[in-house]
Amino acid sequence: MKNKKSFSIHDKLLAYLIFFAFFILLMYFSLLHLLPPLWHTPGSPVLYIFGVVGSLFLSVSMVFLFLKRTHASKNPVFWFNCHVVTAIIGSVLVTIHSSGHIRYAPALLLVALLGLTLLGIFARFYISKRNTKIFASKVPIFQTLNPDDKEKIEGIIQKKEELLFFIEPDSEEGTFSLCLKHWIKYPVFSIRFYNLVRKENSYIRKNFKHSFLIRFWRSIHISLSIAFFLGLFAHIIVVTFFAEYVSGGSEIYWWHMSK
Amino acid sequence: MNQVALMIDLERCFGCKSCEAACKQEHRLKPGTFRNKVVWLGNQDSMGIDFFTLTCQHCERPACLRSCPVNPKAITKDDETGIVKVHEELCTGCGECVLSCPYSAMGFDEEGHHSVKCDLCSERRADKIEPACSSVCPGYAITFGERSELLKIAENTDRVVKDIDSFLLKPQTIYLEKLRGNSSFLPIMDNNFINTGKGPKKSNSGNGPLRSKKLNADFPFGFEKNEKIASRIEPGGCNICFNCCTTKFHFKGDQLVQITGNDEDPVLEGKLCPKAQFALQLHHNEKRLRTPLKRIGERGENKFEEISWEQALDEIAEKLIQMKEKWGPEALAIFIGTRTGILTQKGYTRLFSQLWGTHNIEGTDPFCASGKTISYQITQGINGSGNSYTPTDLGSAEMYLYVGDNQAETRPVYFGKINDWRIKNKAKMIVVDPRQTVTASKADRWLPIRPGTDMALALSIAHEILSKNLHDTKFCNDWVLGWENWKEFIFEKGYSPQWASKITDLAQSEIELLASEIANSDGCVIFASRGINQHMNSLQTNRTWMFVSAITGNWGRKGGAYFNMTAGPPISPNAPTERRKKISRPKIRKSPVGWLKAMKHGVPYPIKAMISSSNPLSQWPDQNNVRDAFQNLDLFVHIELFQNETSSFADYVLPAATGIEKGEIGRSNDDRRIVWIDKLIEPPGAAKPDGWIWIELGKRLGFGDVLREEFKDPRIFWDEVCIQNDFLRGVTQKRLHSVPYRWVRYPVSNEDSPEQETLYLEGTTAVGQPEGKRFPTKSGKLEFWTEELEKKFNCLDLSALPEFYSDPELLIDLPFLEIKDNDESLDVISPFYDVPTGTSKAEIVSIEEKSLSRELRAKGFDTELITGRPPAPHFHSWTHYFWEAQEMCPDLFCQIHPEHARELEIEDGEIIEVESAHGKINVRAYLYSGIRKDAIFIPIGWGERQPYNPWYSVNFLTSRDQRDPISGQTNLKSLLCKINKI
Repeated sequence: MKNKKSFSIHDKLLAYLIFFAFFILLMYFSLLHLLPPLWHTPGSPVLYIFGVVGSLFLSVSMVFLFLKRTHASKNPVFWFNCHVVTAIIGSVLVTIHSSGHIRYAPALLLVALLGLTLLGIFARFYISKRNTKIFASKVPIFQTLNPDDKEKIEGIIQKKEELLFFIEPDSEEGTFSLCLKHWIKYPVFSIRFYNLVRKENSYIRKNFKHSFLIRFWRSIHISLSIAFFLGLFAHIIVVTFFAEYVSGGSEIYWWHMSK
Repeated sequence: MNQVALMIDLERCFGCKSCEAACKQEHRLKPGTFRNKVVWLGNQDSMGIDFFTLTCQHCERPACLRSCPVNPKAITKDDETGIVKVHEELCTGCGECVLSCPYSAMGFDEEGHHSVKCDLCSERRADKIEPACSSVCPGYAITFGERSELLKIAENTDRVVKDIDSFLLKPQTIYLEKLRGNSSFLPIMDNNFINTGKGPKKSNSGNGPLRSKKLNADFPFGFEKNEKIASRIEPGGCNICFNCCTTKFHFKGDQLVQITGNDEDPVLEGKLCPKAQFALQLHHNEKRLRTPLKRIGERGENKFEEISWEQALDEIAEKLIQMKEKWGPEALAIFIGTRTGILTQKGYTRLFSQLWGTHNIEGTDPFCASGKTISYQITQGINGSGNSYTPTDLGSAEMYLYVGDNQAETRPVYFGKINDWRIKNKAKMIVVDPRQTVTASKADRWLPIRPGTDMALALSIAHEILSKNLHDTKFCNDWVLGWENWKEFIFEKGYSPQWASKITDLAQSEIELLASEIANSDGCVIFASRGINQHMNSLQTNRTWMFVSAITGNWGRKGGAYFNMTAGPPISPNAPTERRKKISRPKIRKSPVGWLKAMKHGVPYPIKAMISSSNPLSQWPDQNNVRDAFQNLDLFVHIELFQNETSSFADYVLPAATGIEKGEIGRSNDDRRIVWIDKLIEPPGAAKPDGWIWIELGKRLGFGDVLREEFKDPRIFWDEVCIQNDFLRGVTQKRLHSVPYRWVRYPVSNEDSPEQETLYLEGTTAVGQPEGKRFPTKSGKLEFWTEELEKKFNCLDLSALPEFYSDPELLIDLPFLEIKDNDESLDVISPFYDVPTGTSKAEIVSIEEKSLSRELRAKGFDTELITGRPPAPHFHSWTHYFWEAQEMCPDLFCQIHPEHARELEIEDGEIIEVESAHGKINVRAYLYSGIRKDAIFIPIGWGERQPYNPWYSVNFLTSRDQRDPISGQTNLKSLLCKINKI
């Protein structure tokens, strides 16, 4: 009988996809010197298309970030799978679009993209395994009762309850957490609330030593993706509206808005 | 809100991990994924072992829920029940909740990439069934209910609820504090025997460990829920160990999808140990043998070709006939373990051997319990205790004394009942054992006795009781023959507590106190097992403890007993006299290791062929010599479930069926319950029931008129052959199937006879005895000493009055037994067996005269080696083929006292070499302060051909020659060894 528990993309399939992506990039860069100039120039009609389509794929990947934080998606796992697949395809297309031009400013985007991809792969294949090992690893906590910490946590809870009155008065502190709408509607209260959450977590998690990457991989991944998309946005604006500046007086062979 | 919760009693939990197995089975969790976990706790610097069942706390302020970034949340808290649940279909696997739970109670599925957690079995609750963990817990340690009600129960029973709320999360799971002391909360061996990764994975010394493999789960683990929704449920039982748990087998169509406890069983009440649940991994297991195999390489090389049953059986029969013509029928030896099922062991193979003509047939008894078997027979007239695990019998005792019996790990469900009664009735529990076993962890006192000296303790307790007139004089006078001869003998020998103190390493005052406690309790149950059985003084030690029990009136009463495990149902069919082959040569020895010289050198006469159905190449002591001897066989047939060390030596490997694949009774049972297991599924591939194999082989040898075709149906074989005696005649298929729990307690002489809770009560007559004979001995009384008995012992130059001696390899100088005739001799025939069996005369010699101990000690063998059963998830070899047993207890370990380890600069988890005079192996060190400082403990069951974590068997360290000449029992519990750092 076959295992049918596969609502997520199976690791093996994902590994093949990643391998295939690397293979395509390897072939492209190995054969680059044999290809016509069209394939060496990021703004050429062919590579321009690669850039546009790649960016669209990466945007789909970025959409997941918002969909999972709003009520917009009823199936976050589906969007997560889209996030994974489109990120890989988008990364390949954008890397080909760069055609190995790493001495220019947009290469920073490539570095960010590489970081994002590697971190994603790392999380998928390594952190997942580490997460399974955490179960029952903190049993000594059942005998540790620190009255000082409890007093401090009590104070934090009180402050959270006070803030909650402004953010979402009908919610209970014990089951409440900030989401996108709170950040948009009440940014100041949200920041204050978030700081209290972090403070409480620092007491709860202080006895547990997880590695830096396990603790912060998501923060890094999110920060890096925001940085990447800001950079991507800037790149699109510059090459579209300031093409002369980008070309430095040379021929402008990509689609742009001229003055 | 009616908050529901679990209440977990730390006094009742004894770490068997049954709840963990139930959870994994219920939720089809694959290796590495957990919703609950039992963690063993201990502190190297102080004695004691504790257990902690970790599960979700269903906090009022759940940190996991608040950390979930998905909106709507993938984790929710139910307003009505307060249950915190993860919605796996919404979880994107970011792992934030796993990190945020301070109790580490959030699991993760690394393949499905989502969190998993306990939801108190929402699907079961929807069907009004309690959660899986609480339903099976043998210790009655987990209770499910409304939290307010649970708190009332705690209050009404004066139990203290543990405060675990360090972070104001308001956890709702209730933990009841232990009755004595505090738990250490430091996990043992990093995390519960999980492979620590310290030390080399493969050592260069060739003594193990060998390569380990990733655990691989078969159906239904990792499958969708709808794949395992049952459409019918059939009652049956577990055939793995001696607890004989009654079970329910759940089927979807013809597919076995789940095994649960039988909640209709009035005795076991649906409680199960993990092994019974692992049976799912026995029936759905890719590693099962499926086709007959014929060897094509050298012995031990493990090279085979697949052949048909026809070819296998024809060739085996032909070779047997040739062998018989040349060497005689006795040149065939048959070794039948209980794995094959009692019907095979006591039925099919017994008839086969009678028709063929060999006495050389034996099971595992000489390695486990033959000392106690004969002790019961000569003292009580029949093997086994007459008591039952009922509240009014064993449950009514005032005191439980365990001597060399780690019941919590060997028969966990029975121990759960005893421990429950201990707590409810405020009964006393004392454990005598060189190790602080799991059983000892629940006791009021643990007496760390020197291995091999339990007989001295029993003698001194008797001396104390008799000298202070604490004995039950009326019972002794009315129902014990020869007790005064024995009393005189122990006074004459001076077996006082003072004398025993030096031998046992227990304080004199402790011995005196124990004696008065046994004598003054209104009902004392003395549990004994392999700890006293597996010594050279096995029979006499058993007798002395029996005598202690009897003189205090703890025999033939409710709540009082000498209880040395299972008796085995009295099945002993015989072929018609005219069809029985006349056997001219006696059985070489009771113990199969006594056959090795016959196999290797052909003396006293050759054994040229063997049919085996257990795993002798892991199980028999002195593996180096065993393997050497097996090389010399002309024909070796192995009937097995999995390929193992033994099958690699076989000429033919025949794939066997087991349990519900064939239909049989459960194993020999502690309290006389015959549990019937129907055939419910087909065996894997071409595997066949053992009975089928013996009948088909018998047909080819001309035995078809006795081993009849219709006996392939175990139900017909049972009714027509197995139960034709006064004890079992009423245990018919009809009666077994008339109850939803499928067991009947014998003796029942006909279908209408009522079952007896307690045998040998005053005023009753034993089964098959003339009126007034309370016990089934010739005299109708318990027999300590009679002239007839003395004559029997004199045949071996010994006396029926138990004189103290111990094993030959000890750290102190004690008398031991010198064997006068080796296994090449058939000069002495034992008077203690039904069939003529060779044995040896022996002499109790003092250490001054001859000493193996001194010789070994001079060579640096400075540590006592104890072997025994591993924790509850394992039972001998076969559980090592179940991935979940491997996940719970993967590595062969060696318990060593931390002080001893520090002297040798050994760290917890390090791989070390243990060497005895008989061989050496590598093991993983497990630093444990609950063991005598000069002793180590290594469990049995591992083998070098096992699929996941192979290690060499501990039986490379044991001796084949240290055997009790009266019972054939091998010493496996006190051998000298030394530890070498690698």
